[in-house]
Amino acid sequence: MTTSADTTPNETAKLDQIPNAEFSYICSRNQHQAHDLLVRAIKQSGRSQKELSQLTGIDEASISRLLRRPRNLELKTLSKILYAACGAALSISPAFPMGASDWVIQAYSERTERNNTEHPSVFYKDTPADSLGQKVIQISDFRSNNQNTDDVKFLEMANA
Amino acid sequence: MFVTPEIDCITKLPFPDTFEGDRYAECAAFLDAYCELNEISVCEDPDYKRWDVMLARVRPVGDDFWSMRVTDPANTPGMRMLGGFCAKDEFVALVWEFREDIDKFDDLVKELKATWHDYFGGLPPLSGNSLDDYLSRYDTQ
Repeated sequence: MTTSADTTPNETAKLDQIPNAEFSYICSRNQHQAHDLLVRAIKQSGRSQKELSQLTGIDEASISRLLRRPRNLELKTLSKILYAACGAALSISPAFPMGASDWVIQAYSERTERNNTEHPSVFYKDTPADSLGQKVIQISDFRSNNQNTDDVKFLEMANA
Repeated sequence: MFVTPEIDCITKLPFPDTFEGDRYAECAAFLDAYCELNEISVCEDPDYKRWDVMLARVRPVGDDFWSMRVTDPANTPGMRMLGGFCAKDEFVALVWEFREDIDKFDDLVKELKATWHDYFGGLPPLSGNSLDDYLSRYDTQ
């Protein structure tokens, strides 16, 4: 740990690198989002993979592979296919699945106030799989609240 | 989506800064994608599924249990999370394993069946006539 006596005014304490697993999570999330965006756009456009191949110059097998599951899609490739499908460009905005740092929340609030827009609820809850109102419930908690498992009604549990 | 404490534990930050941690992170992102109603690839027939399909029914088909198939990171055999549906779009994940640790897949399904019975007694998982009964958004391989 450094103290003010140990650092010169131009030195800052060295930051610890963010763990690789955390990067893996964030990168994988982004890949899933990009894949979903692409799949939705193509479905809505009604374009076939053959047509997309002709429009983009990307071979059909590659397009098929890209659409099958989330992959490390190059931004250029995503842009080409998206544009070919429906004439769209990307609109990218940050999301905070782990909760934002305080300074980020403050900066975002100031920006939206300046733009005279309502503050959108873009901040997720701080557990990874707890997004968009869907619940991740530990089944042990559920069991402790429902003694008679024969009377379990799944729909009630799902809507709790 | 509903998960056991064991699955909740491995799909929660912080992930261990190890090779396994990377795999747990991919699994967590997979669950996020499911919960956020991203489109996932699905296969009903366990005997004719593509290697990278994301959700596949397991044998015996009549029991209506499914496997969530996390196939990333690319240089790993992946992970499997098994469970059943309790309602449309509502998946209950009860058991998980690294794919390379699954000796006999049928044994894992038996464990899943026993675990399901432990939690829910005689109540079977959702059984549908078509994929539309299980999921709102999906893509067949």
